[in-house]
Amino acid sequence: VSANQPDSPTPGAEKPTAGLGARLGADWAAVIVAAILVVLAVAGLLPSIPFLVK
Amino acid sequence: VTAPAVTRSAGTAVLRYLPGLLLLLAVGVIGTYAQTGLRTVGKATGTALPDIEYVLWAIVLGLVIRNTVGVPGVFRPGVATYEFWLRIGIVLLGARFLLGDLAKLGAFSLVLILIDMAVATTVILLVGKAFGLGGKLSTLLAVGTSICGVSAIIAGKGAIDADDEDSGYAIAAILALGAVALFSFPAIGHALQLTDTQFGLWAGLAVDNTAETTATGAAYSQQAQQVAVAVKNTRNALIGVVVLGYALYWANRGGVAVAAGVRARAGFVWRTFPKFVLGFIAVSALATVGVLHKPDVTSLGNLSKWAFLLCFAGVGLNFDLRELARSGIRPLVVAALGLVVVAACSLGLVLLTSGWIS
Repeated sequence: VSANQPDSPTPGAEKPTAGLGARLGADWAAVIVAAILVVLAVAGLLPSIPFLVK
Repeated sequence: VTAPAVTRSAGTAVLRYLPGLLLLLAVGVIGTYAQTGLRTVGKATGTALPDIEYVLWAIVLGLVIRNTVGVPGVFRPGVATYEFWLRIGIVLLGARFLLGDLAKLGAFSLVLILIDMAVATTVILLVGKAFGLGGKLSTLLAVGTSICGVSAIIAGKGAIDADDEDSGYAIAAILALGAVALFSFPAIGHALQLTDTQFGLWAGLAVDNTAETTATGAAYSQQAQQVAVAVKNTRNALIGVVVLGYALYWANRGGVAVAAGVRARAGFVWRTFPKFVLGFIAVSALATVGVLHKPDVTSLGNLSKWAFLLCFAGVGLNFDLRELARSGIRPLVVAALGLVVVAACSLGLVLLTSGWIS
């Protein structure tokens, strides 16, 4: 089974143009960025930026 | 590679993504001001104006921009990052859950997901056949509807050796129906007076693509969004197993050979597994054991909302109606029938069983 075949330009949206490999890479990148934010929060270094809608 | 070269490269990357990121932020922020502004006008004039959630404002605004003036090339790289922000938002949202609640919700929703999946697959394959769609296109529509929208279709395309045209049609249909669900589900939910948990369960079970599921939940309430994301993550976690099942079916029917052996197949399931689900569970575990204190959870919750805001703006800005129209009506009709059946089936299941979970 190959999960990393190239994908074609696709109607409807831009996101499908990324192959599965790129999407899985983005998965890990998001997890790493989120992990850094969590570490900063635990260390008390994360500024609280209130959301605009309550 | 020298240090100045690395700096130049990083600077180029920032410049490449910055315009689009600023556009995502601008559209999202305008969406929030549209909601609060309408509320203020309603209060000031004593008029009962509809309280339209910022999620819908941001998506509609993005959609209007994309389909009228268009999104110039300079903005596209940044705008295309919206799924990245979705994943970050989901991981950070894990701080709002206790692991025990998550396990309970996951186990409960898994049963409903399996029922939905059987219904969706049966209906789409039968209707696809009736409409003369190829078996592989019907399979991709079934995968996209029952599991994880676009990601599942992309994984399925490689696994069953479907062609580009089929995957394009399937993705277009799933995205179009996600947009329909985004606007229709909250209205139906309010009309039926669903609780936040019921609505979140319904959206998590029935809306196909993760971005649209998250937005649909948020368009109802914050609690509904949290439940919808947790349920959708359970669906997403099944992507590898389901795609492997279809690959095995298609292996002797014009698909590609499936690697033999448990190890190779387990490797495939792991490669297609959405890793942000693991991050979501890990952050929930940290919150559960008390590593994250209340102010930390609040800060992470706020950041999660900001990340989702960028994602919602991106959903609209990436949605090109003209390209969608070119993809043909038959796949859309088949997927629409699938969505209606899945939505009705999910709603029935939720109404019957939601009393079992608080």
